Amino acid sequence: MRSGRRRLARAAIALAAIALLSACANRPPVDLSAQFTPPSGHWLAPPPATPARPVCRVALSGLHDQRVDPNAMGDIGGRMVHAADAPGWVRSGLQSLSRDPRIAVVDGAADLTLDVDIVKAYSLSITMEKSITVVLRVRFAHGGSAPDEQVFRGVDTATNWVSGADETQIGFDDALRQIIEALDAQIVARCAA
Amino acid sequence: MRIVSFAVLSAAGFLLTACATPLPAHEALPPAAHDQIASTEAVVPIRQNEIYVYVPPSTAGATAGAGFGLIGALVGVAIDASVDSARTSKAEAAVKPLRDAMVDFNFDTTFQGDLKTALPAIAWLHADNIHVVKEVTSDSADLALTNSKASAVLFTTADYHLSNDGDELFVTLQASLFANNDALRVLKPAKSRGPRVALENSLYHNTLTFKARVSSWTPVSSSDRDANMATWSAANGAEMHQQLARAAKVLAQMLADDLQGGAQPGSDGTRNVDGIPGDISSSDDAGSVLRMKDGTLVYATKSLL
Repeated sequence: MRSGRRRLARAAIALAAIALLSACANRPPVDLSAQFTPPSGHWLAPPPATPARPVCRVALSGLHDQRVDPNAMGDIGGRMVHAADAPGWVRSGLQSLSRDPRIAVVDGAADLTLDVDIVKAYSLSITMEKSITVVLRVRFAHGGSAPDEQVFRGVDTATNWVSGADETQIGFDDALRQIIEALDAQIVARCAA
Repeated sequence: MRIVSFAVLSAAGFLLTACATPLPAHEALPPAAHDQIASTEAVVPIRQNEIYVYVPPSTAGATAGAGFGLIGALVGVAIDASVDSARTSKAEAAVKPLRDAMVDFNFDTTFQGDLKTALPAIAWLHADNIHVVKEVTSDSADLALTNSKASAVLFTTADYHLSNDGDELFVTLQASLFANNDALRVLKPAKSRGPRVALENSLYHNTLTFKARVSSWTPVSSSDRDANMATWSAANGAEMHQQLARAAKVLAQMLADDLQGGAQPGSDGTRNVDGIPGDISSSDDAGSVLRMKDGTLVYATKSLL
């Protein structure tokens, strides 16, 4: 009786696995967008009671992809994930810092400059989950003070539903959003100093 | 791991369907191949970008659900998926401090560097163009073999991860060498169907594993994952940094030795690693290389022997 249940359990697992396998077998790679899509709703908005301050002008002085293969972004359920322009995607994410009214992302003279490395950007499949990680190293240069640097990590771990392009893009965007929010706080603190 | 599970299931299914004889885990390179290799390209596929924690898939739900027929079993599979989800999220959160500590360590270039030292030392292999690739599919491997100008292509697929408790580090190398000229193809004609890089078409293949325990000089390990992560992560990940660097160097040398026929068991006899006996081939200050009964090679640090 018990061995029969085990056989049935194995059959069910095998059926589920085969169904998932056939769903992702020979599927083309996921091609990520070069455009960061922020989440819906209010984010990067200052608290209502924030006193008025001069807008901090922030410039991006450099953006460097430090990865071995700039196109490779890991896999989701065995389906490769590609990004033709990961720096473009990160750049568009950094542009969204302007959503915070205390910050203006500018091209010219700035109060604070950011020199950014893309250290990691990948999707990893574990059990039935996808775990998407983005790591940026940011060097801050503020006025006459010595430059300092900080590493920011964003992680989105969620169920892998169908190894789809949309869920992958959303996961990468959410990981980058976490970094942008942490970076936003650092920028505001540095500009206020 | 999901991919591994799929691969195991699909491979098992294929073998059952075809009633084929399972492929041996180790196949030595025929000595006759040595004179036919004018050049070898080494492709090093490493899919991952950082260390991860292996999370064993749950099967309890499916087993319990099986008592209620196939539908019950499928519901059980869904429950297992939910359990897996929670476990994976916890594991990913637990490994984050270690990843942060290791953010500047690059296993890919470390291992590539060690292969560049070990493989060119084999005169007849004429190893050149040793490069890491992040695209790891059978199609991309087939393409690499087809596009290669070398007479042989050596694939060395690497994986590194921690056990579920985080107390043991596993670094695994799946190595396979394929003919890419007519003289070598004579030694082992490829099967007409399936990928060119199917293991059954290889002139040589083996699995090499490096195993180390957290605080590897002590025989006691803890099942407390967070405590183990703290130990690995301490001093900017010094312990993990040291073990991964060691693993890369040891595995590169084990591969070079195995391609040349492998070290023969010495007088040190047999030891068990994870309850499985193997013949000690060589030892150093930190551990030993064991040739297991199936021909695979395992380097285990002393605390694991």
